[in-house]
Amino acid sequence: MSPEFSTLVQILRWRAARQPDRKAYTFLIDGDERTASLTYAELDRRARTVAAWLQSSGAPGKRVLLLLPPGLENIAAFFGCLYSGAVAVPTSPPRPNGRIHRLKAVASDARADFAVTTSTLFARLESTISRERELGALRWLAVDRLDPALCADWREPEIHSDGIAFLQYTSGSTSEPKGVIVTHGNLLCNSAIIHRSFGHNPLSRGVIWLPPYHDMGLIGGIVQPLYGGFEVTLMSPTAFLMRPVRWLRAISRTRATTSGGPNFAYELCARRISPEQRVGLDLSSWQVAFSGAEPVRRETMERFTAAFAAAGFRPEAFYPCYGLAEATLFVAGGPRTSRPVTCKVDAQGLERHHVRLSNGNGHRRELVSCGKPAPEFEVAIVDPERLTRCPENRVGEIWLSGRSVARGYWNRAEDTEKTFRACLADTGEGPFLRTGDLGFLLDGGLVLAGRLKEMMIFAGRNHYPHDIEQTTLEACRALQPGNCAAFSVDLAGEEKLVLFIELDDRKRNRLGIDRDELLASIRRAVSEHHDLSVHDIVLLAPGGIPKTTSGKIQRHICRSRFMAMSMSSHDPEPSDERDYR
Amino acid sequence: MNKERSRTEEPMGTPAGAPEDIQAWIIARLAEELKVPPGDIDVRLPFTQFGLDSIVAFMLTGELADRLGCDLPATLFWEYPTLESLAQYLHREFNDRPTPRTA
Repeated sequence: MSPEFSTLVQILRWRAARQPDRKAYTFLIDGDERTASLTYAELDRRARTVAAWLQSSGAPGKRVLLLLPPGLENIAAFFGCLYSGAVAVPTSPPRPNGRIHRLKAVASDARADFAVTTSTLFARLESTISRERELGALRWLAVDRLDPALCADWREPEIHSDGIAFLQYTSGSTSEPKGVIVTHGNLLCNSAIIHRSFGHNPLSRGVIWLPPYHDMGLIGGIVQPLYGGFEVTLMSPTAFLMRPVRWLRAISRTRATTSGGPNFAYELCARRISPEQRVGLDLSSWQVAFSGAEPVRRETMERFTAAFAAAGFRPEAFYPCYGLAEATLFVAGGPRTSRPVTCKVDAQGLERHHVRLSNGNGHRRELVSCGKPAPEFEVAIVDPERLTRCPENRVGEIWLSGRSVARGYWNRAEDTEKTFRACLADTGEGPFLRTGDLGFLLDGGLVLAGRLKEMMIFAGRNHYPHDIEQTTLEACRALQPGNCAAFSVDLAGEEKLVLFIELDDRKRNRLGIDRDELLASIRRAVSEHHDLSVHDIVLLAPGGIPKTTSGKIQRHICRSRFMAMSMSSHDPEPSDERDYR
Repeated sequence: MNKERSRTEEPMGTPAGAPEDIQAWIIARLAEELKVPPGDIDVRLPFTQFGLDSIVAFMLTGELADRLGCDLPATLFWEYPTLESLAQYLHREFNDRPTPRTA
């Protein structure tokens, strides 16, 4: 890439002028062989059409919700927003009869004025939109209804590298969503990092099923191929989840070099793709099998390799990486040409944030290194209480600085100050981004070892305990604030949701609520509101949830108590609710 | 909520392709994925009550489509949120072709 580009708009304009007929994006319509494609010139024209409408409607500088299913229209709408000088806000379209809490909260937090969608989706949402103030107040545009001739009206806006490209809403709870402000400069910096780290070139080929409203799907799957000038084949996450083999068939068919997803996706393939389905797969072209957005597990990589080595998959292709929206996307990854690095550390030491490499027989935890942080970042491992750098053998909070660190949270000065402007207490160095992730450096590689923030990650999606506790309390009138603690535990290599519930039996009887019904209604509410399965619900007597003197739930104590309960029970994988009163 | 749960029999034992077979198969797979005893899956209660999430729902829809040898909407488990309604839908739609592929 030439260094003179300062915005994504310039890059697409440049490619549309120099490589107009090159295929940029191919979308697998049904996840299999039916395809639709866009060349750079076609994408440029469609982006100008969307942009011309937005410009004539006064959108430049304002927030535009992108509410489209994965596909070429989604990509055109995204670039249309950037072409107009508006701020894109990628969101996930609600399911039929699905809840729209999150969408409303994002629309209102972003102070959006516009929403871009498709006419099919608009027809489905029309009655909801008219009912909800936050959505009804928006100006809606169905991209497929636009007159293509509009593109002639587009005027190239004046955008600088510090101009906002989009707001990424993967952080913050449902009740308090936080939009990370991603500038064109952030995007170009992170794209350059990914390009170099993944070893991309114009002959690279990508296959991506990740959702385009998630940073990994958008920046990794849509922006990176444009940046590197290579072709990418996309499909919807739904197409992948319905038939995981579609992902690997797409890699096989297109001879893809780069593809990946969260750990669970590899696990799903290893578990659910039958030996018959593996026949005919050729994964030998796959050079970078990135694994990010949730902890990378050695067992999963081994299972996947065992299942697909015969199809030509090379374990050296596995590329663990670490990143977060607050740093635009990618922070560390690799190594690229050899097998992932793992280390075994003493588990008890790790609980107290000591790193003791251990080859002995004691209780050990095996961790996968997420590779070397890109040199564009300054990384500090910091004691989160003292706010000073940790000595080498200690786990601390990962702090980052550099041009790839996003500007802050949209309209949240206080949160931005706290998270993005931290300084070391002794030297005054800063400002740093506090990632809320715990880790340590081992031979220059970043090893993740837990979280300081309360965020939980299930199948690559971020969730917050407070949201789930709120849902639980609302699901049952026998419960009061403070009666529920939501936390996650690591079981058999997977993060699982557990609830501790304080239940006053007399009160429950007085209200005439059946115990089984109560548990079922909690499971149902969590499933409906958060799309999550509760692994275990543990009933406790009033006062049973560990709290600080000020009443704050101590989730780390909940977690260790739960693990102790699991170990002492006969069933090593508890799945039924148990009563500990 | 219905207090008298309609307990379902263990899966298998019915001829392949019959509606009972499909229902039994769904129960068996749900129980396996959601880690609940098959007998706890009440055909009249919403799937969400057993903790169904979208990953499992999409996966089972794909497997079901493979078994029936047809296309199914990705939103199947949301459009037909109980086993009873889902089984009725599948029976209505696929009654004419009772010879599914085996997965």
